Amino acid sequence: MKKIAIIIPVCFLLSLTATNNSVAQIEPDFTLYREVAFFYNPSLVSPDKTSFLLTSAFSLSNEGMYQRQPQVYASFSKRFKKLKGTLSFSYLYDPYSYFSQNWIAAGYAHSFRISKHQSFVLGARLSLVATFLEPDKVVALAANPEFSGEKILEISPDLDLGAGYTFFNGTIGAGIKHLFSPTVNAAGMTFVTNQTAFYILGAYDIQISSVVLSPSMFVKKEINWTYHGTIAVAYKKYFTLGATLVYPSMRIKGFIGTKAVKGLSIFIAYDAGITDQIHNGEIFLGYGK
Amino acid sequence: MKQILILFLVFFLLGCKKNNPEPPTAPRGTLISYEKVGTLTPDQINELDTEHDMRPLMKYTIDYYSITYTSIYKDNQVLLSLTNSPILLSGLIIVPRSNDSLSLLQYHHGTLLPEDAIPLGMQNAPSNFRGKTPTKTDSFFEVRMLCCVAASHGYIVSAPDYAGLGVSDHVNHPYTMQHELAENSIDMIKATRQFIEQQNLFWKDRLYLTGWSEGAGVCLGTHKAIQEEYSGQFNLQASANYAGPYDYEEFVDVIFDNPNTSFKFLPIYNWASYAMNTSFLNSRPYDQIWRYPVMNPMDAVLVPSTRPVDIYQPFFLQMVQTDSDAGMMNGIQANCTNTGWVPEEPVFFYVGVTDQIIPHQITVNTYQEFKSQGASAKLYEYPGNHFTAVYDYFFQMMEDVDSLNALN
Repeated sequence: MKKIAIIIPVCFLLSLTATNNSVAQIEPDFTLYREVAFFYNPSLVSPDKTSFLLTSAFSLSNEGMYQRQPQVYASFSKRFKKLKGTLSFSYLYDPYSYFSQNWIAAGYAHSFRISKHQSFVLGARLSLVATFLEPDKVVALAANPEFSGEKILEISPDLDLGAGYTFFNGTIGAGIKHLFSPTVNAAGMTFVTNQTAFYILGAYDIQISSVVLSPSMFVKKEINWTYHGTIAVAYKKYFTLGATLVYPSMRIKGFIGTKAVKGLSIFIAYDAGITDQIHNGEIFLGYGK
Repeated sequence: MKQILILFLVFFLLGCKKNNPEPPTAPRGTLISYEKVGTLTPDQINELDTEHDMRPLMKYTIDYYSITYTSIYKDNQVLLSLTNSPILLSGLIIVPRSNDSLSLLQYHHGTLLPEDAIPLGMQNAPSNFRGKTPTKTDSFFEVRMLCCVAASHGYIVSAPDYAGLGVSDHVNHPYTMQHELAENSIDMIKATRQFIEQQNLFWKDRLYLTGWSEGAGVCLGTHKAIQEEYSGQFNLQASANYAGPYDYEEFVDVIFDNPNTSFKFLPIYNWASYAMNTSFLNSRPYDQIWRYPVMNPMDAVLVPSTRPVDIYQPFFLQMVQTDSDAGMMNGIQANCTNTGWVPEEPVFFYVGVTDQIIPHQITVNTYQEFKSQGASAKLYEYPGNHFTAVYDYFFQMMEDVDSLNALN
């Protein structure tokens, strides 16, 4: 417990220091944040011995200025009993209108058992961020001969850290992503920076007969603080239904999924603005044994 | 569980916007419909106007009408082009019960935020005024305090909602796009003239324009358009402009040249950036301007930080600062109403010297620019800010308009 008391505030302070002066893109905003918690926090590994997950977030408002290709995230993790730890490999494809990023990461999460029902996990993930910048796709630079046909590939190292604590049916964790804030500059201008970001996730499963009620919250500090509140209801393993409200961006998210086939999880999610007509979808496929 | 489902349903319904109606086929500036909404005596107006004593200006009982008319709108949200599409717009006309020959005063309202049910939200569009006691969200400040009072003083007052408000709330309001909104304003004047004819009102075909904040920009833009593009079609006597972003370059430079400064009013500047993108940058992908997803006007208003450096892409800021973003620079220049012309009719400027929303120097510079070129321009500067100087503006504006009106 003492470690948790030290690490969480340290993570928090680190994130504040880092985000105050950084510039950047935004991280993928996965609706199914609990399913892909590992993406935001390298300590929140799957409890399964072997786990694989694949998810894709895509825009359903694919026109004009909102046009966006799907983001794809995949990860594989394997738990090693002797090591008391889990090794993981992750990949993210994150495209924007004038650049795309391929993020490849290898991580390790070490578990410290506190009691039968409590454990503490520390995780770290080293990554390479390959940014493929096409300045001539920046509309404002389209007529600039300096950038005509130019393509820039920049590969930068990066580091994510996280800490998690599991107790009975609950989990809390804090993670920091992009500690090195990889940046891509060209012609004296900054085009891409992966902003150092901070995440807190808390979730608890309440078993009521055959139904599991799972409230959770997810707090993000990217440019600003964003709060996700979720309530999910699962009936045995047949289906899970949930809804999330996001503040202050005022988005409502819903998801439905099943774990009826042993080891397999399938979810679909929908995200819509309360004040707009921008819609996003998400598909999640997970396998664990 | 039931509550969750109800909550989900409520949010879903809130997310549903109205369907787009069929575009009108009648020519621009055609009065399509009007409906008498109500009548207010000076005492009743006074009861509504709790913020300030406006009784010295009020004389007549007024009747107010909600109207619809045809105009144009750059429908680039759908078509990704800058072509004008026909659109049905709405506005308010207020008529004093006076036997005198009346003049028309068109009032252009200021910023109304792009959401209903919030203070200063778009539900306060003039045509939605129902003469009710103001609430925190349904304040109708400008309609109650200014439009109704000016009408009770003895003018036919018309107040356009603009595209994106009132009956056209299914489209995005081209916020601070002064020339685009001036076209809506001109069509409102045309529709008001038809209304006057249909009502057989006794009027002397004289037009005065006034407006506050965004509306002052529209007001001066309308003055310019009438002089340059609609010459001889309107008997414009003067425009009276209170705290508008006439010099649009100086207006946007407030935030772009000071990116590390915290601006309390960054939400409305950022909404202006959104409107610039949709109006004259042909809807660039949002990630080439902003560091967070901006997919609609409300996203623009809900800024995640009050510092420009936190919300705009660094290369975008740098290009704007160095004037190397040609599309942006050309659009900003084209949206200025302070250069490239000299008003032939009198133009009055009013401003609070501590205005931080639209710095008072913008008004001073515009006045000096016109004055140096021989325009009949007059400037009034008041202690106070964007809001607190409003009564000084309004009482002086009425005096200025009365003086001109008495000459003819």
